[in-house]
Amino acid sequence: MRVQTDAQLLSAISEGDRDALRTLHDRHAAWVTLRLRRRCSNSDVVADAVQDTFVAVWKSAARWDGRGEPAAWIWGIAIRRLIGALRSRDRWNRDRLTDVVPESDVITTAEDQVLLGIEHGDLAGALGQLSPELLAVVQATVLDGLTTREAAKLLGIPAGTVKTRMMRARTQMRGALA
Amino acid sequence: MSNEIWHAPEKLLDGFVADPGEIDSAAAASLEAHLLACDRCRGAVRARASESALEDSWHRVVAVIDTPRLSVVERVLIRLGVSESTARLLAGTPALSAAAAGSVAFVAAGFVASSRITESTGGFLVVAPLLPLLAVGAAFASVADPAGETAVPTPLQGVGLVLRRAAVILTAVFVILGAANLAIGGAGRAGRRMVAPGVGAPRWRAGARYVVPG
Ligand SMILES: [Zn+2]
Repeated sequence: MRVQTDAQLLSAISEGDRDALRTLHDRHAAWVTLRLRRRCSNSDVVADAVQDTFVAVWKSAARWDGRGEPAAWIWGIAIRRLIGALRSRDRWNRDRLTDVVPESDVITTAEDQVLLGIEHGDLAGALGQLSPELLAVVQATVLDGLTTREAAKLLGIPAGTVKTRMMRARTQMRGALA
Repeated sequence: MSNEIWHAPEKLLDGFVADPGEIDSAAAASLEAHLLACDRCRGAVRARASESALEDSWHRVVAVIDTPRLSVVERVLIRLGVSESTARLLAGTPALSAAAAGSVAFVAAGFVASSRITESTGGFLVVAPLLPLLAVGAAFASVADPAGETAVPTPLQGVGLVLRRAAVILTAVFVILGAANLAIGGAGRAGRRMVAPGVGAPRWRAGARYVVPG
């Protein structure tokens, strides 16, 4: 049997192929769930976010622009669903699901993007130098791809604080990676 | 290969899959970055996941995507006080909606045409009451949609479903004919005759020629 790439699956899903969604879910649900669990200890909230993520993929697969990694696109939806779930767990509106598909509004700099390409060991080393609060900000903005506002919501700190911590983190990492 | 690409070692993966806290956040964060770009390591995480948890997760997704969106008809029915599940049953199948609309339109058109031509609506009166039933039967025959699948688990419930749908279609026919009746005025008697058996009235009024069994 021919193995379909994630990109091929997304295009099949956009045409209503449920088996393709099932395959995509099977490939990605596990790591997405684990990664969300590292940001939210409530497993019910995480389960809701994962469910909504794949429902959003089902409805919005046609909106994937075909560039980059489908995994990154799925993660962008998942982390925003988690923020939505944390914000208003009881009364969030499922009809607005499609509104959370990320547009190209991520605010990280080219320098930040370089971080994503760094070898695992070096990245872990650079991140390891950071204090927990700076690491949390780098994780939310650079690795999770959130905007300043979204990161502020996820971490429960003011947007201004996200920005100043990000600046401090960049300075420290520049030193570590130099 | 001399330039081997890095992949997450078993121990790191085990720590990542175990409850959060087993590996430090810097190592986890950098593994997460790697996972975004690496099929093979995602597969390794997948292989460590609980099958039953993944199955549950999938069923939760299916539960949402298999629930049809509320149609205009359903929303109107809910506004009128019908419960959501009943509204889905009644309006859920496209075949039902089409058959109902077709039957109602045909009955109304036939009624208008025949009353224009003559007071005696003759053969049409005989056929008209059967049309809604045909519409319901046609609708019941199509159970391939999600609403149908969940609505007809047993033949016995299927009969109840036909009756409920029949009630709705007949109500619609009745309302439309009533409106047509008012609009046409003079042909009122013929219209009432036609409607009476359709809604199962034992006797409409003194002038009725039908006596419906039951
Ligand atoms: Zn890898």
